[in-house]
Amino acid sequence: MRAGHRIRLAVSSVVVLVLAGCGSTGTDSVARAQPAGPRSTYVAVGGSDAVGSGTGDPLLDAWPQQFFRHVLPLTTVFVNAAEPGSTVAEAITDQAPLAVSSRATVVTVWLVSGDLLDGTPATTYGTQLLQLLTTLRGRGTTTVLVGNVPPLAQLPGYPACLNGAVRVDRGFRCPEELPGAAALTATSAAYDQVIAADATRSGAVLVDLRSAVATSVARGGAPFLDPSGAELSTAGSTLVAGAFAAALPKGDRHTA
Amino acid sequence: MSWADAFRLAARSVLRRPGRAALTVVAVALAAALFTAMLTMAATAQGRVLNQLAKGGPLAGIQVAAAAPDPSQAGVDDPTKGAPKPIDQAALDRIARIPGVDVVLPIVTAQSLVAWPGHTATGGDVVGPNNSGSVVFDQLVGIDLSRLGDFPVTLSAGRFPAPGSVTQVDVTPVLLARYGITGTRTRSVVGSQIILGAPRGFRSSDGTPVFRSRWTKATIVGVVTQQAGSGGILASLSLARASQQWTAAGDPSVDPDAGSSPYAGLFVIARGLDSVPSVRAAVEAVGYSTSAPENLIATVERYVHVVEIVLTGIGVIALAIASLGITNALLAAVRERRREIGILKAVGARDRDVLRSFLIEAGVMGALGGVIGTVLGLALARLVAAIVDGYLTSQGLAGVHVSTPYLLGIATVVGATLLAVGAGTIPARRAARLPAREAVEL
Repeated sequence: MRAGHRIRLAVSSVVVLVLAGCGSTGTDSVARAQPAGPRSTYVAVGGSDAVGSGTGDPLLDAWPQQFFRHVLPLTTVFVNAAEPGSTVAEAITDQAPLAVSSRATVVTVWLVSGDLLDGTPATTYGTQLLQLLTTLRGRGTTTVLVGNVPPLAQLPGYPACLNGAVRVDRGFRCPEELPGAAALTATSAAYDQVIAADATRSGAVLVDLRSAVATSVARGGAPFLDPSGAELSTAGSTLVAGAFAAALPKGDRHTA
Repeated sequence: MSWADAFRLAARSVLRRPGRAALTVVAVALAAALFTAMLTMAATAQGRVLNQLAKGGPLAGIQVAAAAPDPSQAGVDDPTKGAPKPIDQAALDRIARIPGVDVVLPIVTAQSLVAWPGHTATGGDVVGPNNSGSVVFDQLVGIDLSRLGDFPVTLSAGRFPAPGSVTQVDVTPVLLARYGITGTRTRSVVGSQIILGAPRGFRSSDGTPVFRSRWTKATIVGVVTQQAGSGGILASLSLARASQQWTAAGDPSVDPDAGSSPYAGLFVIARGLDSVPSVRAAVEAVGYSTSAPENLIATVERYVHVVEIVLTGIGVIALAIASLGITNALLAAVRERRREIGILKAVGARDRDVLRSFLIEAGVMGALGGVIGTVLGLALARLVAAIVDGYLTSQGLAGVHVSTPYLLGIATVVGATLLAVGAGTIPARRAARLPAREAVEL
């Protein structure tokens, strides 16, 4: 602000106070001290779908961001640890430490596309996922939600790789040899089994995305994937956020 | 003649000439109204401005930057800063111990992504892969909200965040302008929810630089103009510190601008206006660049003094006019009542009885005029304040609110009464000294 303007402002303030015959009370404009209240921390562990790469506005439309905005309490802090193309093995080293150091109270995990399209065997996937979930659960005070595999046609990346794409995202590369649909269907069913088993063993909450997506498709809902078939669409992100929200225990959600 | 008789006589005299008495009372009332307003002006100027300047507050504050001083800028109000230099707790404590320092208030700033669902920004750093405009880059400015009166912060709509709140913020018109929200529309944002993201730079296992943000939801509770720090969002120290610490803990090779200074600046309040230059010099000796509106303060002081002189002059003129009005009215009354005075003296009234009667009459008119004038003056002040308040808020500045100065009202009524009695002294003495025979013969 220029000095001349500041002088005029200061002098006009003096004159205003003087003419008004009073001073600003000031007390009405300051709220009473408000306790911050207990803060909860939500960490999203995932791949490119959690980053919102296929949505219209990734920083606002990514499904963890929607989940955070609409479901969790006002005082919640949200950290999106997701990395595009991440597998469970990579999440253990790259994402889980951040969740632990952030003292997360709620964690969502949805990591299926990378491993499934990379051909990670279900048993290996199950072992790694259990390690990840156990780490995230900590002493059992952290609520961990884990999503299963959507129907194959709606699996982010699969339609894109099926159409011959090589690199569908900056962190994800289609396999050189894409397994056949029957094999992938069988593997995804096996994934679902180990995800459910790992959720039970670790005390995590299973989020049945397969049913949620299948129901939405059957009802003729908005496309789950973006036009390239590589990422979740904005509507798909909303659907996933809704499924995770429905599975969230009442004690962790926004009550207003 | 008893006091009661003197009162009766004075009342009868007033009622006998209601028109003249009413005009005299109106003259006193107008003078008292003007007097009330002028006295309030002077008191406000003295109390609210000069004391503020003399005892500290935003105008007597010194801003300390997280940078070394530039020797070539000595004596400049807002100098160019030298090389960046972090301000840590030790530096804060050292500055707090400088003689003449009343209090040191820390300012914490943090980089922040601002996501505002439903709004599109067009100016400044719009971020995000698709640049949709809903997310912009700005700065969070954290101050001790329990010491708002000490900071150069002005509220123009809503209220300030509660001290310590991590879910309430104020926004500045500069930030709102980036979203195309200006003028009176700025009030409409109060109650909106925004999402604030503190970025942190990481390197993933394959060495790829990535940013992960710490997001918090916040409700906009007010609109402010602030000069405490560079940024469009005003928040509590707790919220800004949490964001700053998150960002500062990142990989410096990914985000060199993350900043390692715990405090972006300090606001140092000197014990008095006279202490500002010496405190500034001492802080610069500690190694930090400072800025203070020293020249501005001197100029404002001169303006305030001029305003005081003008107001005092107007008040004196009003007093003189009121005195002349009362004197004139009573002199006329003496002329008209010479025969009555003569009869009073013929039936045994003494000089002091006549004197007392006229002084009571003057005092009654003064008191009545004082009461009416005080009420009028305060009503006038409220009217002016309402008009000024409307103008200020329409300009995005803090409004003013009227308080009722009861003591001033009482003082004005007493003052008007004494003034009237004083003004009536000459006519009353002239009436009292009037010889009875001369008065009756006229």
